[in-house]
Amino acid sequence: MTKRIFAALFAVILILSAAMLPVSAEATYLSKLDDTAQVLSDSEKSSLQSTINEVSEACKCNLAFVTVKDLNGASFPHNGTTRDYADMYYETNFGKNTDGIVVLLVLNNGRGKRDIYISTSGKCIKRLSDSEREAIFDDALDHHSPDSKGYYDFLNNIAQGIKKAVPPHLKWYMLPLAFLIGFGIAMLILMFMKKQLKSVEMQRGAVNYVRPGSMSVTASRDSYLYSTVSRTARPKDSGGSHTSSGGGTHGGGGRSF
Amino acid sequence: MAVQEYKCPCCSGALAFDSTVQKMKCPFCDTEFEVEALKAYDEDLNNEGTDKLDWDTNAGTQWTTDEATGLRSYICQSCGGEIVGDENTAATECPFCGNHAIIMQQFSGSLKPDYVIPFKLDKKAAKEEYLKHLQGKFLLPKVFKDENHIDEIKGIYVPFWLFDSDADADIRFRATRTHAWSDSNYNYVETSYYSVYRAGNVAFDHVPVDGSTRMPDDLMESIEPFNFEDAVDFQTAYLSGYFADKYDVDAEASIDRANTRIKTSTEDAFRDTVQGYVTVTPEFSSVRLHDGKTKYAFYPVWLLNTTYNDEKYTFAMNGQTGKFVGNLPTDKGKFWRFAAIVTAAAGALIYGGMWLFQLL
Repeated sequence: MTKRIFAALFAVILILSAAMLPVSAEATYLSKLDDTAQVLSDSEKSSLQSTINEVSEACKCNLAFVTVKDLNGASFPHNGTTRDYADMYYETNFGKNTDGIVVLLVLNNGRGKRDIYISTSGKCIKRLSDSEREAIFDDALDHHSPDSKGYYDFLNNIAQGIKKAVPPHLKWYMLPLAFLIGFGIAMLILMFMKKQLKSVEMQRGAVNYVRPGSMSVTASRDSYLYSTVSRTARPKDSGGSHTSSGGGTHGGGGRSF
Repeated sequence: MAVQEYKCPCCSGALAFDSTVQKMKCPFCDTEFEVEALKAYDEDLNNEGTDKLDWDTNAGTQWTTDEATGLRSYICQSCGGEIVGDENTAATECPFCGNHAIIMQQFSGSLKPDYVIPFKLDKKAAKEEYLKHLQGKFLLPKVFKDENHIDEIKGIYVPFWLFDSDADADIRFRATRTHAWSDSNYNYVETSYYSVYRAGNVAFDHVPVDGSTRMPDDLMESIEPFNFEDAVDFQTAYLSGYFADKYDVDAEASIDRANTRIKTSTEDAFRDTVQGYVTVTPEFSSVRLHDGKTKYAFYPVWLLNTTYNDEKYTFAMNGQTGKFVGNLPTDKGKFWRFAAIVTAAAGALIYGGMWLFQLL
């Protein structure tokens, strides 16, 4: 029995490592820095480009950083919003529904403000949650404002935030939690097996000795008394995805500042 | 004191009840006798007993000190050896010649059982069931299974009190129904409360209560049910070849247990008529028993004893239906080894699954 369990355990490990294989296999991910607005110097550009390459590799997805003066003059069709611009930029450069992220900086959104927008596609829609994205914006705007520290620091900070949030990761407590659940399962099985060893107990009643057909119900009343209604708030849908004007599915969000 | 023994009219060997043919059978010359046919023979033997009465009384007086401590001694009708039993022993075997002895005095007057369910299964069946009982139990220590020696195996007629009764019941329940719906902002649950009343009656036949303190009550209830359809009028001949005790817990003392069981089952039966609710909680219950009758019966039980790690394990088999019970020891080492392995395997699997969920 013990041998069989070890064999089963070995098989489980094999299957798991096999499942990991295609993920760890080398795949090529595209990374792109498109400074149309020309907010970066040449040295800043090459430095940011290498950061983007690194982040793209770590996140195992496509990654583009784009700066534009405004939403006019794009080489692809879009419906004029920052969101659709980012989505369509992604689809044009990386294809529909592939795994990847576009970070778009618009210097003039048409209402006299700047926009920063992150558009996600494919697996990245789930991997970058709304709260993680908002945390990245908070950190970048509060501590690395382009007005005081320049666009390089601002964009670089966002790249670092993505590097932390997007790569597949589990919270530290997931490991002990997994084994705690495992222990619970073990105890459940063991309790079942321990019950097999116990066969001596008092009878609950005398159901085996009811005279067949002797039971008769002479009075039966079901009377309604009262009702109570309780209500609980429904959890709000969050982190939803939308469809771009090009037909691809995207997640993401942005801020004006 | 009178000791009853059934002798073969052909060869004078000691007869025993054979559970497979349901007849008395001589183990020496294989002659079979109907139990009914031995009834007259039984009476003749009782008449013979008057002759010996004086002699027996004398013998009895010599043992007054033993009687005070609860011991009784009898003289074997076959070899004259001394059979020592306690005050409840009703059927036993002679330790010298192995012949079956039935102590008639234990069945005199009001002590005579009304019914007996004769043994349907023999010692071989009990051994087979014991081996089956040890199968398929992972946590049972391997040593226990491999050694698997039975210290003692005995066919015993256990005294039971049988209670017949009609039960009238008035029961009120508090029951709830729920209805759930939701709009765009909230989930709603409406709970409706009902008062449910049921009245009626139900009858119970032959609810058994163990009448022997020597038999653990839980062990005896575990091998239930006994099927009363096989019960026949009591005759001492059925005891030949088995052990038996007379009752030492009287009907009055046993009635509480019967009441509890009948009340529980009555409430359960009426609880089952309350349908279509999410929760049903009894609020008030009144169960009244009437037309109660009590009978005294001997039920067949195979008792097996074994020792493991200086602890005694007792098993019981229903001699009528073959239901086998008995608690078994747990292999603690195996328990924790299995716990560790399953925890590791399931934990790894779950953690792997968490990663997989992240990656997909």
